[in-house]
Amino acid sequence: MDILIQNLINALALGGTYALLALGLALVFSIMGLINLAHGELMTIGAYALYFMILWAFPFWLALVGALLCAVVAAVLMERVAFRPVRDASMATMLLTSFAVSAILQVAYQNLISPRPLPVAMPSFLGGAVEIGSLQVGMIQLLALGCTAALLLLLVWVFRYTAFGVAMRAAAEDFDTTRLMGIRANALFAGAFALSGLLAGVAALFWVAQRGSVDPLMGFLPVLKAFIAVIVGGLGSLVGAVAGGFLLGAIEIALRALLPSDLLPYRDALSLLLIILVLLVRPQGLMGRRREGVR
Amino acid sequence: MLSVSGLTVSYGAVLALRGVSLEVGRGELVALLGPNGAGKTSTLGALMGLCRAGGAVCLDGEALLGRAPEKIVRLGMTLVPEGRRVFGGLTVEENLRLGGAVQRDEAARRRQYAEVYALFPVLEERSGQLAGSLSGGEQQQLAIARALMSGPRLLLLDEPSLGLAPKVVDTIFGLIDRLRASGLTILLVEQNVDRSLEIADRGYVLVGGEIVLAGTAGELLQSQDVQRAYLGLAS
Repeated sequence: MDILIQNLINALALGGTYALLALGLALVFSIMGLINLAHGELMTIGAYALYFMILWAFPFWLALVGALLCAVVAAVLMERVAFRPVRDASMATMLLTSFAVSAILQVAYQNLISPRPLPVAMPSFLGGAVEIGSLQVGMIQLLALGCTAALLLLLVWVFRYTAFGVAMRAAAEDFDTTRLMGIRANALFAGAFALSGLLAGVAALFWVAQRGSVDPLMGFLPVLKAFIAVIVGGLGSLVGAVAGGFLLGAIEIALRALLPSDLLPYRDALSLLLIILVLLVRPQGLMGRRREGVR
Repeated sequence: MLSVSGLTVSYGAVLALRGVSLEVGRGELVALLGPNGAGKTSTLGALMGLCRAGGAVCLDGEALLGRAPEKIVRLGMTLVPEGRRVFGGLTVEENLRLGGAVQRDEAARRRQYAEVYALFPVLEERSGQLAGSLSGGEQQQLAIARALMSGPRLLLLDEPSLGLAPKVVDTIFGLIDRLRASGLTILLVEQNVDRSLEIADRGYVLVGGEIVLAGTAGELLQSQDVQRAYLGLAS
C-alpha cells in the first residue's frame, strides 16, 4: 500500500512536470501553429538563471523568482525576435526557425557558460524526506506535486474567468476570428509565449531540484517527453496536453516500479510502445478535436 | 459612411477582385449579391484587413487598407464571418464577452449585454451553454450578437443564411431588418437574392470579381439581367 502511494506521488510529480511543459507547447502551437523546438532552451535558461543567482548569493526565494522571470522574458524575446517575422510563413519555415533558435541557444550556452554540467547548490532542506504516517515522501516530489496542482488550478481560473484567459482559449480555437473581436494579434502571441515561458521555468526548477545540475542540453529530454505528451493528448487541445503529461508520467513510473531489473534499461522504449498503442486506438489523441463547423 | 474604390485582391496569380467600387451610406442596408466564387467573401476580407488588398477603403474619411483587423474593429466596423465561426468550446456568455473586448467602459459593456439579450432572448437562456452545442440558427444569432457587442457603426454580414433551414432564415432576416430599423448601417453579403433585396435599400451584383450591376433594391428585383443571369446561378 505504502509503495503504491509512494509511486502515485512520484507519478503525479513527474507527470505534472511533463504536463506543464506540454501545456506551454500546446498553447503556442494552437495559437500560432508553431511547434517550438526551442522550448527546452527556455527551461535551460531558467535553470542557468537559478544557478547564477545562487552562486552570487542571492536569497534562495529571490533566485527562484529570478529564474522564472528570466524564462518568461526569454520566451517573449524569442517570439519577438525570431518568430514574429515568420509568423505568416509556412509551418515548415516556423519549425526550421525554432530548430535554429534551439541550436543557437545550445551553442551559446556551451561557449558562453560551460559545456559541462554545473552543480546547482540547492538548499539542503530540499534533499530531505517528509514522513506522513508510515510514508516517506521526497521533499522535492511533494513540492513539485503541490506547486503543479496549485499552478494548474490557477491556470484553470485564469483561462475561465479572466479576459486574458478567455481570449487565449478563443485564439487557440480560431485565431483570425479572435482578431475580429478587436483583440490584438501581437498581444496574443506575446501572452502565449510569456505563459509558456513561465511554465517552462517552473518545470526547470523541478528538474534542476531533482538532478542538482544544469547543462546546455538539459532541456532536450523533458521537452521531448512533453512533445510526446502533447501528441498523445491531442495536438491543439490544452486540456489534452495536461492529460497527456500525466499519462506519460504515470506510465514511466509504473514501468520503473513493475519491470524486472534486467528489463529496466528498456523502459523508455516500452513507454513509447504504450504510447503508440494509445495512438493506434485514438489517432487524434486523447482529447484531439475533429475539425468542426464551416470554414 | 463606407466608400470603397478600385479594390483588388489576388491569391498568387489569380485575381479574385478586379477593382470593386461601392458605397454604403449612413443608415443604409446595402446588399452585395453574387454567385459562389464571385469574390464576396474576399471583398469583406479585404475590408476587414484579413487579406492583402489594393485600392482604397475609407470609413468616415479614415483610410482602412493596410490596417490590422483588430484596429478596424476599434474604428467601428465589425464582420460577422461566413460560417458563423463562433467559438464552439466557449460558452455563449464568453463568446459575447470576447465580442465586447474593445469596450473599455464597464457601464457601456453592461448596456451592450442588455441590448443584445433583448434582441436575442434565446442567447440569454443559453448563456452558460457551450456555443458548439447551439443549433445553426442559434449560432448565427450568437455570431451577430457577438459582433454587436463591440458597438459597431457599420456591420458586415457574410452569408448569414448559409446552411440554415428556410424558417430559420426568416428569423435571421427579420433580425437584420430590425437592426437596420434601429439605425445600424449594414453591408449584407448574400447569395439569397430575393430575400436580401426584400429588406435592402440598394444592391450590387458581383460576378467574377467585378461589380456588374448596381441599383436600388426595387430596380434590381425588376432587372431581367439579375433574374436570368445571376439568380439562376445563385439559387
